[in-house]
Amino acid sequence: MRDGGFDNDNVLLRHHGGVLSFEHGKGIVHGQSVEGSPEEAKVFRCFRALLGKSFLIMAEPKQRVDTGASFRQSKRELFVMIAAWVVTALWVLGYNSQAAYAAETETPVRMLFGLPRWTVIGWLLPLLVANAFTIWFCLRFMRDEPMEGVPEDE
Amino acid sequence: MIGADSILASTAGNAALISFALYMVIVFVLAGLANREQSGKSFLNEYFLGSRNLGMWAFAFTYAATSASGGSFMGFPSLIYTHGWVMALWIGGYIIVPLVAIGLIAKRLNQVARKSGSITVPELLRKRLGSDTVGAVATVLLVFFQFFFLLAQFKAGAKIMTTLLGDVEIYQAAVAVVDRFTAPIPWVGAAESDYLLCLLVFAASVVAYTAWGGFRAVVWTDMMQGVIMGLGVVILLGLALTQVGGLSNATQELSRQVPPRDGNATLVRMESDTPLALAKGTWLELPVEEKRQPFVRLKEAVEFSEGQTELAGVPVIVVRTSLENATELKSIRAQVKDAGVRTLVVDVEGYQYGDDKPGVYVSAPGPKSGSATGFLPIMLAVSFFCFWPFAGAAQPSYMARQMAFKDIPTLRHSIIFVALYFSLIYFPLIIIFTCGRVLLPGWEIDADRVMPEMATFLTSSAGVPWLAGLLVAAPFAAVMSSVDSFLLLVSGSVVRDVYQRKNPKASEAQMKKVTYWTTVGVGALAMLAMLNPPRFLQDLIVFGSGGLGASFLMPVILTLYWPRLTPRATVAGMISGGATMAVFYLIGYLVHDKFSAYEMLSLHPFIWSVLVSALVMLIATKGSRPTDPELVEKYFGNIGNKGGSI
Repeated sequence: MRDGGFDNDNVLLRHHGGVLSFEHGKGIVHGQSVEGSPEEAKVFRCFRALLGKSFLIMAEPKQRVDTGASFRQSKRELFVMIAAWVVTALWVLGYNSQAAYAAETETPVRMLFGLPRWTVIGWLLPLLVANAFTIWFCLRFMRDEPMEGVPEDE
Repeated sequence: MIGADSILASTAGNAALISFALYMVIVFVLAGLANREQSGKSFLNEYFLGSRNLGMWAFAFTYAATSASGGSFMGFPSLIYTHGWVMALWIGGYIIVPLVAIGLIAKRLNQVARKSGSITVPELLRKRLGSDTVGAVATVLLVFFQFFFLLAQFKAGAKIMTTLLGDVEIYQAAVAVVDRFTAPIPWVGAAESDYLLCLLVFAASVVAYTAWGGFRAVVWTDMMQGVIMGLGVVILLGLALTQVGGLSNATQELSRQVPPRDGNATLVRMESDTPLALAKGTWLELPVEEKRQPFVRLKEAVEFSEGQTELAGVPVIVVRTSLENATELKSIRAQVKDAGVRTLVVDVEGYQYGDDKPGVYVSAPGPKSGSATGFLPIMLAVSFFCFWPFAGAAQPSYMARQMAFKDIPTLRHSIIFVALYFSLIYFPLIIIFTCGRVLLPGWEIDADRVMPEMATFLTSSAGVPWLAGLLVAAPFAAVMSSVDSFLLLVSGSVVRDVYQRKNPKASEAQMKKVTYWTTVGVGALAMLAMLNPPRFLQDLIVFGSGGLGASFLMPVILTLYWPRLTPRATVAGMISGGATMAVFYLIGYLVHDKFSAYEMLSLHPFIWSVLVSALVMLIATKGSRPTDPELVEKYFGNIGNKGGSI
């Protein structure tokens, strides 16, 4: 394994009846398969190669459910998501409260890539940043948890 | 038939009918396959949640397709067309919607639903808080607000079909038959017969496949519909940019546009020896004035009878095109009819905000006919930035999906997929329909139809009219994928939370029968309510989703994350949230004399409703009996002294 990176050559994907095993260097982590099909495994192998440790947060399927720990982790994730929303709100609304409303008096209209300039800086750019954050959050920060069983009466 | 309607509809023609028929066949095949999957499984769990086994593609597509409803493909394009680039700011909250709307509650919701064995949202609230009252109030609010949402989708579906099939001979014959039979019937006869026929066909087909296949059919068709939507948008974008002469040209022409004016015209005919019919949408040219070329467009069909030379009080819009806008001028002139009619426009009224103001379509707050502060004052932009992610998080139709994914990796990868998918859909839609203002001017006369009209116009101009079928199938798919989900949600609540509670020993055969008939009944009711629909789809959609958001956002979040929440506080929170939203719309109706929200301090009622709901819940929790500690232990684990605060 390279420093700070991920040695894609040492990654093996094995399907065992719907359970996917990631063998990574010396460690082996088990979890439920993403979908079960080899095509999807291929797609996410590409993601994993790009994002390194992101995929090393799979839950042990036989692990006992710790409701309290799961609740606390979900709460942490909730606060990070709300913080992300606040940041994007400040960017989009803060910038556009000036630029978008001032654009009415611009003659000719100020453009960037053929679009009104404020839409690129105040909407398209934050969209790209938010997507990058979402990918990081889902692959690096959000934790897998073992799933609860459904009660017998179901 | 004369005018734009015929020009556009004729290009789609039979090819569109074949595409549409093929699409419907596939939908029913999927429903049949889903129906076969039901055998040998718990009926309710399979029928309403697909046995809680959704994988990544299924969960992501069904979430995205349900979310991208008739609002996204009919109401949203209509608003882009009417108000321009300010819609990027209006929908700014979508930047973070996939993360917040899904991530905020999905994980906890799925876990609590599994632990409690819940199939519907009211059931989950009831079991988590141990209160039948909570479940009953949630059911009533869910059915009420979701029904408004459903209504808007029915209107959208019927509208798309009228455009898609407009020039097909069999369809026209069928419309004539419907007209003959329904004209004498009060109320029903007041509806346009083409709309009526399409509404009937749309409602019958979507209700049939939803009732037949249940949740799994909905998810499978959502996957197909999601692919069609994505493809449709990409193709539309390519065609629009090519035909408008590039993005820069579109933006420059848009920046020179001014809003049209409403008025009445007197049409004077030179020769009157034969009757003359002018269709809705007919263009007539006026003399040039102050660097602008005015055109008149008819808002209604009119007819000169033999010997008649003058028609007064004809409703029109006046489009004043800049002489520099070559693409826009070319597009209108291609449709101008030389009918030997002289036009005199009277009673002209401009927009209250944006009249004669170039640049208004490429900036905020955007033009608005009925408001001197424009379409989107900054405080309203703030409201919508809150509205989309948080109202999205509180939609019970999405919650049903969040109860159905099979594991957390599915959730994580689905959020990523939906983020990319939404970026692919919403940003291009704004570009497409701002181009639409240049390529297809004058559709303020019926803005809700601009999406299917654009699809048929772009494909016929590109010489590929057969493609119109696929493109128009995109919004149709969006509408269908939402309708089926909402139908299932409403019938699920009625069956699980009302019927089964009263008849706990009902056999599976009885449950099936009740489920099928409830789905059919809800669909029939929605169809009847939509015979004479309101003008703007988006008003209904925002009311429905806002009402659901106001009723469920704080109660659901606190139910999942606050152990100290009490049943009484939850009931108070749901009722106060939903009621506040309804009161703001009632005030809006009294003030504006139409179905629209009253925006106190320019903030959307959703914000006020959520604030009221949260405040009421906090106060009510302090003054009410705590929840059973066993339930807290069951759903929150051992939280010790630290778990009581959120």
